Amino acid sequence: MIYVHYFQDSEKCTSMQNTLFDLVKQSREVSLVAPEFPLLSGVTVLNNITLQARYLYSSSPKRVKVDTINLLNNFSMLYILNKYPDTLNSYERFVASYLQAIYIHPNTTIIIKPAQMLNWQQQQLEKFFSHMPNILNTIIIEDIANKKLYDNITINKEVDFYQWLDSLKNLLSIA
Amino acid sequence: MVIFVSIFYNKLGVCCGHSYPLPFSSKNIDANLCKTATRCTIITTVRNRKNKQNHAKHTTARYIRFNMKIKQHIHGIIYSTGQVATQQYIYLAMCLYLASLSAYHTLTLSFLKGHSLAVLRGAMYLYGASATLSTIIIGLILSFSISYLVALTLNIEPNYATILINDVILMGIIPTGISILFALKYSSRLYHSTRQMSSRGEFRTMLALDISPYRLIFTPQILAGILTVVAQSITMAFISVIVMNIMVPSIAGVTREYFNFILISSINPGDIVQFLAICTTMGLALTVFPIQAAYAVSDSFNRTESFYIAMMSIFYSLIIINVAGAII
Repeated sequence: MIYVHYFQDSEKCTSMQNTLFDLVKQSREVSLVAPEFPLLSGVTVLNNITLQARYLYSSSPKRVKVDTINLLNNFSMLYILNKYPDTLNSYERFVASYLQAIYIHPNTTIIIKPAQMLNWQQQQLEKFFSHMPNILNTIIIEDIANKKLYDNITINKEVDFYQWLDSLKNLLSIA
Repeated sequence: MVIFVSIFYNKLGVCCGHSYPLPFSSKNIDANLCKTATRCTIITTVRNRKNKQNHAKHTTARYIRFNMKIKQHIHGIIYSTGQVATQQYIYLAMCLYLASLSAYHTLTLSFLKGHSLAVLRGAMYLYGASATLSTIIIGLILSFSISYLVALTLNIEPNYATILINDVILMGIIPTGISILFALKYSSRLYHSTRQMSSRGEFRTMLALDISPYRLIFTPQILAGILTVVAQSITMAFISVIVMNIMVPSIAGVTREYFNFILISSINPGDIVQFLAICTTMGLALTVFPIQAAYAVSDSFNRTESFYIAMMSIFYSLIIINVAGAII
């Protein structure tokens, strides 16, 4: 399911980001993709994607590599496996960030301002959503000015952010 | 740590070409004690001859003599302990201490989950391997200039050249200069990379992923810094010795065997251990500080780690003691 919330005020967006940042710190069932959370420059894409899994769950290196290869194959981007983030273009960086977020299979993935992360290129946005696995709850927080970019993308529902947040908190039993 | 500090106070001044005599000399002490004891004995003998009935004074003299012997014995123990403490054994103790410290860090690192080792490898490459060429170039320049100095001195006064090699160059300029140079270079790069990570928001990413930057980034980077500084300093010291072996005999016009004799006779294992200790300490001190500074300036990460503060305080204290020792 893909939900979207269009915001009109950038200050509200900052406030929402801070709220989500706290939420992510409280629960590992929620993961975040945002321009403010870049990939780590000192390690490769493979290490970036599997960072949390190996750090928090001590997963074996062979296992995480196989999983990462499978995930990158979904996007036909296996070639970026051992590249460093500085050498990637905006689309590749965005996909790597997304895979980093979904690697530990969270309940919900939040993508903040994807259009900005993809340099407002509609084709890349459509390409990403066509490859994105539809198995997770995903909510997109986007500027209303970029609404047109989503014309050809199947969005399940446009939601109010705070209502959606309350329902998510209830679902995850977070105060 | 007290031992460690005392070692550095007593001995690290040697890195600047000085050697510190003990505040008292054993020979003087022995002579003085002997004189006093002999005088006491003479006095006692004379008094015994003159007035054997004076039993009280006789007893007092015996007591003094006995007391002197004990004092002499105690002074002997203190002196020999002090001598041992400032000789090579203490360097072995220091080496063991540093080895245990390294082992502790390595063991701690094994508990660092995730990509700490990958970060360590990356940092080693970034600060170590990529700087190999500059290490060799700087090492060669330094070695050639020092060799020229030695060769000139050897022409003037061969005995003085031995002192120069031993006290000033091998144990002075090369280890201290090189370790400081590379520690500064390394720490500067580390500081800038940490600042960049901070400005790019990479710490925020780590926090969002529930990962501690302290465990993921800083500890491996510090370890990499220490290893890099020590390795580079050793490399350059070896380069210096090799260059000296080739260059000095040809300039000074002496046979290579003669120069080798001077050089080899001036190096002993204790100096090498001391050299390693200096490099490690300098490396630790000069790599911890910039990370702590970058940590403090990070707008997204405002937490101080008491461990780093403690380490920084200890090693900067050592540096200050070293400098003070060298000046004194």
